[in-house]
Amino acid sequence: MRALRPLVVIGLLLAANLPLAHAQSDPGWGIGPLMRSLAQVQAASAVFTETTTMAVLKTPLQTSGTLRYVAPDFVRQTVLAPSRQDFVLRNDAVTLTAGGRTQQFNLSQALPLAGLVEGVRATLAGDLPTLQRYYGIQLSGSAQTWQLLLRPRDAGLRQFLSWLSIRGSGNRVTEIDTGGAGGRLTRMSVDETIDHAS
Amino acid sequence: MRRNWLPVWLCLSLALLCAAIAAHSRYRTDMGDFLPHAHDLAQQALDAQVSSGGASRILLLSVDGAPLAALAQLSRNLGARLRTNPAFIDVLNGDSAAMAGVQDFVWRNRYLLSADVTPRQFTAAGLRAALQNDLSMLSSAFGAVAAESLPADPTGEALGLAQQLGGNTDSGPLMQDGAWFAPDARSAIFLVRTRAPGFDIDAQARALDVIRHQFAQLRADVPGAGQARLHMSGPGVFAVETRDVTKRDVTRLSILATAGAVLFLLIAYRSPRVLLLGLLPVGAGALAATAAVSLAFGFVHAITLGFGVTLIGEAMDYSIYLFTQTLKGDRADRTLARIWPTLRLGALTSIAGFCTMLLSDFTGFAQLGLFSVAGLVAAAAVTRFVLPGLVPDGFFAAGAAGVGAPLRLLLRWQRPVRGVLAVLAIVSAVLLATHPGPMWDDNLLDLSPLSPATQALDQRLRHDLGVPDTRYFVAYRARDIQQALEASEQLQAVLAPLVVEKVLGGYDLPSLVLPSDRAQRARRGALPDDESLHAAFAQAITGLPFRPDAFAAFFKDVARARAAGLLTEASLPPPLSLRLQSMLMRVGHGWMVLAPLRDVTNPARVRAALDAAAPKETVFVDLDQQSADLLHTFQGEAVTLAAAGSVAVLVVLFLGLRSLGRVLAVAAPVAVAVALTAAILTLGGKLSIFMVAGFLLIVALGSNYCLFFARRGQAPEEWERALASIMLANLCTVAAYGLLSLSRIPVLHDIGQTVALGTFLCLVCGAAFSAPPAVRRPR
Repeated sequence: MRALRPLVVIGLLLAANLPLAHAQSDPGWGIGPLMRSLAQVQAASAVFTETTTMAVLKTPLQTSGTLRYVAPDFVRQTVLAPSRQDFVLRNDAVTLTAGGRTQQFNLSQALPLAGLVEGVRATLAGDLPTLQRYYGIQLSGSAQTWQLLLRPRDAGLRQFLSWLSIRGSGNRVTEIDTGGAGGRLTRMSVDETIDHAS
Repeated sequence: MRRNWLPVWLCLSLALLCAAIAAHSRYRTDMGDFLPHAHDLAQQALDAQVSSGGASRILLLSVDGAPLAALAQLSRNLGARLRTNPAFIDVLNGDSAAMAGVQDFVWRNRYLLSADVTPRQFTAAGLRAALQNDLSMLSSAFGAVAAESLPADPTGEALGLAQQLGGNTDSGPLMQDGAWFAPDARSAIFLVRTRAPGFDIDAQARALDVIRHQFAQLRADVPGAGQARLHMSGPGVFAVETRDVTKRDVTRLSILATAGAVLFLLIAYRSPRVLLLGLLPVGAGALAATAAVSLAFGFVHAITLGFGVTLIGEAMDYSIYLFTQTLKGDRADRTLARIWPTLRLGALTSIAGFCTMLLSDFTGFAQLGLFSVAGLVAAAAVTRFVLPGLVPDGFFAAGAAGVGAPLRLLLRWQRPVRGVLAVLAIVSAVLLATHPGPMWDDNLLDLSPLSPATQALDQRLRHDLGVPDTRYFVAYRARDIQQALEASEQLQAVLAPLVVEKVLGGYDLPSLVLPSDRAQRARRGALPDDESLHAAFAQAITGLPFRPDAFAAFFKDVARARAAGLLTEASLPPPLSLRLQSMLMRVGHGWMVLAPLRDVTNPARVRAALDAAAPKETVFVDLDQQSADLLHTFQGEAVTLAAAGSVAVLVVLFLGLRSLGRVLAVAAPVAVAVALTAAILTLGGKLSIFMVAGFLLIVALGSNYCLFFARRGQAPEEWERALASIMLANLCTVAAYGLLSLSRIPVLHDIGQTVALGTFLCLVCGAAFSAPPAVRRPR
């Protein structure tokens, strides 16, 4: 039964939140136009709050911090509370600073991480080929409120990450949610400011 | 004539004995056995890497020519199929199945393997710090990964170990559809490690066939992969390819070369039986030489055999001199009695020259020396005692009559030819003396028979797969494995800061794979008993949002680790076992550790850090430097031996001829020919180490020509036959070696070119300078 729990949660989540797929009001709108409008964003910054629920946790974990994106491949996530943590992705090089320790490695060396990170980054960059390489894509909503539901293609990645959902409005991302191993669910609300778009 | 059969029977029984010894000899092909005995650690490191290093087992594969999805599936299928074959220890293609065994081992033994396991880690404070770190991990990009292992591994040992064993590299292949790809995503790539070392050529050939066969089978099953192509590279591929090309060239060219020589001899002798008899000295010489080397050294190196047969090629000329110089109506035994002093002196000079090689501490040169000496002694003995009795009565090499004509023409113009040669000799001497830069080719790749395309493929695949260049190593000696592992743990403390300092990209050490018993005991001792651990954990978790009942797996695993036996070499899964073996080598009664360093950006800094802080007798090894040094030593040794050999030749000539003038008449033309040859070869590029063998043969053959040219007191018809025999001998040599120079194999090409050119020049110079003016125009 325990193994089923994440599935049940996902099912509930999908039923509660997802508008029906392909229920798009604008006939000219779709994955192509969405990706093109996202690709126009050259630099953006955001503040976020994230809630993580897991089987090992009595109470959800609350974190908050800032995000920074610079096209085409720079992403930085800084957690400010409850403890400082810095995650920098530049090209394929990852630098993680937490608890006074800095670790560096390459995305290609860490498949589970690569999948998750590329899902977010490729969406921000409007890079459809990369997104399709890692995920089966399902788009719903409209240009004003859209949701991308990404399901990992790779079985190794699915072991950690069952799905990744990115919601947005226009060319702004408003929410990033994930579901994965150990009944882990994360919900990140994003308040994004576009600094520069072409 | 009454024939004495005793020498024939004696020779036959000796030949049978030698053949029996040769048949039971061990033949080796390891380059290491040919090289000088390694004295210092750095040389031993080179030896070990060359002969059986871990790098020699690596095969690099690439599959292209199909759409990405088809290539990925082909890669997964091929990887799975090869993984079940015992010929392969490791098949890495991005498939996580490849690492499953290692991951499982690391997970099960994380508390013995991790250097972070200390008593402090399992106190309430230590556990609390770890749990707090976990919280921050859970909310990071790593959260998804951390969540899975957290309940069993809250202190994060497995994650740290994975990074450590992964080699801390930040370069790795591109991952596409569960398979590794080259950066352009057009070819799926593999890194395979074979069970057999790269220089076990037969085993490598079988492994390559397995891969080809499986690939062809699987390609047919994967839709869209029909046109896919497989490319392979690596030391094993090179070894097999080199052997095949060599075999093909040697077979094809030696058949051609033999055919050329046989044609000339058939024209001259007009008797197939005599032609076969002519092979007797060289055949007997090769047999005796192989037996002698086998008895003296315990094994015969393949290179000794190859070069040795070349060096005793002189014996082929012995029968030519005997058969061709027999006058019409005369008998072979009387001819032999007439020319024997000259023939004997010729053989003795060569033997003296090769004798100096016996003194070399290069096993290969010493073997070659013994091979040549034993071979020539046997060949000369057969020519002296056996051959004359077997020549049919009344044999006369009728076809050789006109062969000497070019030499007679040359002798008619002896004075102008001398002038021209003298000028050329001076020009050559000046050219050689003023040669800009080094005359010797130091580029090891130029000695390799591999095509530039093959080398380029290897470079590309190595880069794409992130296979580190194995140029720099740390080497040290240890009494036993435990001492080696403990020293390795000390060494890690020196190397880790260098990685942070970025003068070093990464390293591998035996203790990363298998910690010393001492370290394992310390870690096991650091784990608290179940009761203390529960108490400390309860205290640590207070106030943190974790469920206390979520960590049952952790308590179970710690309890199991406390009771576990220590890990030994036998505990390691095959890939880790191979990795350990590739760093630990048996040397004499102890062990040598050879730990590879990756991406060394500042060798001087690494060397200084090791000198300052590493356990004593640890050396920093630059393999490129070592092989360059070795090649220089090799060249130096070859030149020294050649010089010493020349002196020995001159001494024997003087003892035989008893006149400085006559010694000069024989030695000067050979010296001029050698100088001319060297000058011509340097005009075409640098001199290779292989050419030295060619020069030895030029001296051996050329001195015989000159000895016959310089013979005094011959009747005109005897002189006529002598000229014919020299010319015929040279024709056969030039035909045979000239054909060898067509080979793509550098060693065959270089020797062929040198010998063909050099012996021809010896013929010309001998005729110009050695032939006495008194019999210049015999009638």
